[in-house]
Amino acid sequence: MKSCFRVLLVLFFLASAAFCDQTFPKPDWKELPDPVASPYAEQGGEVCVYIGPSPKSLNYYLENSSIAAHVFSGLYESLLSMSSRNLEYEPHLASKWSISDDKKTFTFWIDKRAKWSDGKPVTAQDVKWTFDAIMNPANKTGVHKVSLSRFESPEVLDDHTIRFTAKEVHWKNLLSIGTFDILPKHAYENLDFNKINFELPVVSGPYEIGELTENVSLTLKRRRDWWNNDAVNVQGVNNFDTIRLRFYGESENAFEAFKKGLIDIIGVNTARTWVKETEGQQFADNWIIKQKIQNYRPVGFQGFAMNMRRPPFDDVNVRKAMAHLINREKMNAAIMYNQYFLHKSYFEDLYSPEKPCPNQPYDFNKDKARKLLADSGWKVNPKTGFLEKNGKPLTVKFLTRDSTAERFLAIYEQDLKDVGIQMVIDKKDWAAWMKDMDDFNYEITWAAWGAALFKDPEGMWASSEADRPSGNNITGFKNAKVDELIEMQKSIFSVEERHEICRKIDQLVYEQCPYVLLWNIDYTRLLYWNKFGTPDTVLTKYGDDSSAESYWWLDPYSVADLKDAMEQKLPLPPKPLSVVFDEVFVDPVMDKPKN
Amino acid sequence: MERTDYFIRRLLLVIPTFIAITMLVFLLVQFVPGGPVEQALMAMKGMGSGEVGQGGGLAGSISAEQRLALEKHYGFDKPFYERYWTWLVHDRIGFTMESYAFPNKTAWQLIKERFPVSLIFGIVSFVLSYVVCIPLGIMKALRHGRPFDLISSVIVFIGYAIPPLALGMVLKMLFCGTTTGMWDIFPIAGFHSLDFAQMTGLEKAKDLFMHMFLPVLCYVVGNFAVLTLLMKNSLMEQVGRDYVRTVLAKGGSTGRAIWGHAFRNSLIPIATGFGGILTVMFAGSVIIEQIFEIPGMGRLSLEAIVGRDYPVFMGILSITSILGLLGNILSDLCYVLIDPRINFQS
Repeated sequence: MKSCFRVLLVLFFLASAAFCDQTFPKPDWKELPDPVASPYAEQGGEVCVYIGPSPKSLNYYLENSSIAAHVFSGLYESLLSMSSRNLEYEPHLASKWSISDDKKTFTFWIDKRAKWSDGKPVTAQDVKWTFDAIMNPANKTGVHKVSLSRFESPEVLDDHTIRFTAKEVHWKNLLSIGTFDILPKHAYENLDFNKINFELPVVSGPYEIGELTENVSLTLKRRRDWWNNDAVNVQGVNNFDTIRLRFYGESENAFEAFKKGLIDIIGVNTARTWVKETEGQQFADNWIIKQKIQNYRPVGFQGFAMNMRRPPFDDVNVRKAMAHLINREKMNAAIMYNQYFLHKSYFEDLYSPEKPCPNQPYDFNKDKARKLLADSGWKVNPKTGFLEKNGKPLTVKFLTRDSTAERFLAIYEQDLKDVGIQMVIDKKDWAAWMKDMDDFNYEITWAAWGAALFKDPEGMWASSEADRPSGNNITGFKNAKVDELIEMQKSIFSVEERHEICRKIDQLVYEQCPYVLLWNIDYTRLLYWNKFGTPDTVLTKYGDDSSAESYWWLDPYSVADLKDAMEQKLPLPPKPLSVVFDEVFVDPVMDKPKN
Repeated sequence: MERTDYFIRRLLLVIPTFIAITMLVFLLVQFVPGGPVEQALMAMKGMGSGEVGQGGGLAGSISAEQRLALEKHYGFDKPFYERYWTWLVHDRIGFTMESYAFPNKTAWQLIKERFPVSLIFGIVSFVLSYVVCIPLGIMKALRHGRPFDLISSVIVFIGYAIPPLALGMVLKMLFCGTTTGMWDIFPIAGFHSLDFAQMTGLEKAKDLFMHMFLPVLCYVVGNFAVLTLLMKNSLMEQVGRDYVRTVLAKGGSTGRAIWGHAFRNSLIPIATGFGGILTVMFAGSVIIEQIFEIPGMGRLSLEAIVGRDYPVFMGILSITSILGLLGNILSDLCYVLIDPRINFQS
């Protein structure tokens, strides 16, 4: 009897071990310094950056713009943060969390040190209130509802413990609830959420709003009483006392203001500006530094999306012919100073020299295009010179909304004409373009997509998304094998395994040619006045020019040198034109170069 | 007496004309593709275009329920006449409606903020145009065919021929210190400096002057030709009339013939456009405000049209319609003041 009881006891412990929640961070985890942050960084001073036109709202939940995201990221914090070393989750507002064995229940313990700027503690009620505010149908929180809609309303266990239950297993679940910014319930609960736009007085993050002058600038002031100021992983980060965000409606005006010294740092988005407008004494004498920064920033894709729901683009041969007829090399050389690489994938950043992309590029080849079209029954009408099938000419209507596209389309139009395809350009403004896209009322159009660090192929490539208005599967792509892979990756928690699946999806999609793929850039084009101290890598591993605000500092010696050089019209020592993250990054903890 | 009746009738006609204009535009707006619902959906998605992909990281999908909720929020679930009535009466010609693009402000608040900026530019340009063009037109008429007339014609026509966009860019290159070797005198853009609030009264005036100089130049240069030549031709036409010849034949001096008789009559064509100045002062210039980043009515109108911000767009339309209608009456009043012979009875 006794031995029986012992066996039962052992079995009980084994069973509870097998079904107990996993708690994070793991016991062997310890807080490490940020690997990119410089030990030489000094706090103080002001940096002025260009951010775009004057914002309509600073509330990121209402205004899904890059400006609102930028401001919000300095003001508010989420339960978890992500290591800039390896993208693993780290404690932030939550000091620890657990995940149930069925991967559906997530419990967070909020750090008791976490405080709002008015001194009140950050509590589980704040988390629940923010979740409920986002999910409230009366609130115009748009896309933010989507990622949280996979959860039931969270359950407050006590003031500092909160539990989320997911409706289904998905690797994105922890990302969704761990990284949404928490707002202070006590400060905002009696306000109309849709009207919280510019007044954000109570914050938890390292910065607070200074002054906002509409159409001119917004300042963010560093908080000396930020609850997390002493954390090991923020040393050397958030160095500027003031971050001034300058607004300009036109990027050309911002660039002129930068050259005049009114803006300190600017990212360059067009090849012509980068090549032709960075001349003059300021550049020659290194008062302004010009650098290309190559890191692991996600690379999206752009191309001419073809509507596969209707003829002629329901035929893969026509789509492939369209891809063979675009002279990308010529466009890159003639219009874009050879600044761009030509796409041959929908997930460019998932390939590397160790894992090369097997997709064969669609080369500019009119003969291949003619053969593909002939295979599908398109024949040249000798009278008109245009291709016809069943008495109907092959005419494609290009829906465009952007005048910069016209110079590219002029070249494309001529090459299409050479093989007998007539292209009609239908120019509309943004809003009218969007309406046509929502109604699937287009044949071919230019679309450019950004990329996320963690790839989720469902929105763009799942068959279930193909017929839903306002979705991202704008081409109407449907493929059973791709659907299977999309379903499979939902419950895989290893990033590398998911990436492997995404590579398979990429190859299947590429074969179906839903887009005439164009070109892209895999580095950041950066200009800045030579008065800053920067980490060796200049930007972070995954960051763009906005990471400068957090990791750079105002270097008094450089400021003095720049002032002297400008007064005496003397040159300053140069800095490397090109910085490759892997070549300069040394992890201070691991003490060895990272690959 | 019939003049008073006429102006009262004209004033009363403003009301039905205004309702007809706004109702027609309100109706047309229903058919413009890409309304606020699409705008809101677009803002929720991360897409861009151009040389390099600029899409956002959070490209999300919007559910059908969210779309319906948006349509309901913007009132698109109601019939046209109900929405127009709400706009006209309940929302007081849309002024109390919240802007779709700037949800923390009503259409009136936005217009009220931008209006003074355009008004300052409008008044300065108006005064400058009349102060320069009327004397210049008179001098040209008096020196018709002489070198002064020819040279000034060449100058004003060059001004007329250069588009404000090109002129603005050239002026910025020459005088804003952005091109090596050129002058750095004026600021690049904006209505005032960053530290405007801390300045003294004199410094503020200087700061405004420096910010306004180039845009005002762009505003007026193109207008000089029309007004100057209108003045010149009108005066020359009057000088050739019988009554002027009679004055001269009766022994009157040229000065008396021109200033005492011809000048007043030559102002009639100029007065034609006088009423229109009300709308010009209110409307601002889209192009110049874009180039110089001036937060005026021109930019607000453009943003409202492009962004399908109907409350603001309709608000601006209402004001410009009213000002346009009143401006016409003002022009008529100017006629009457200049020429007492004008009779509205016929």
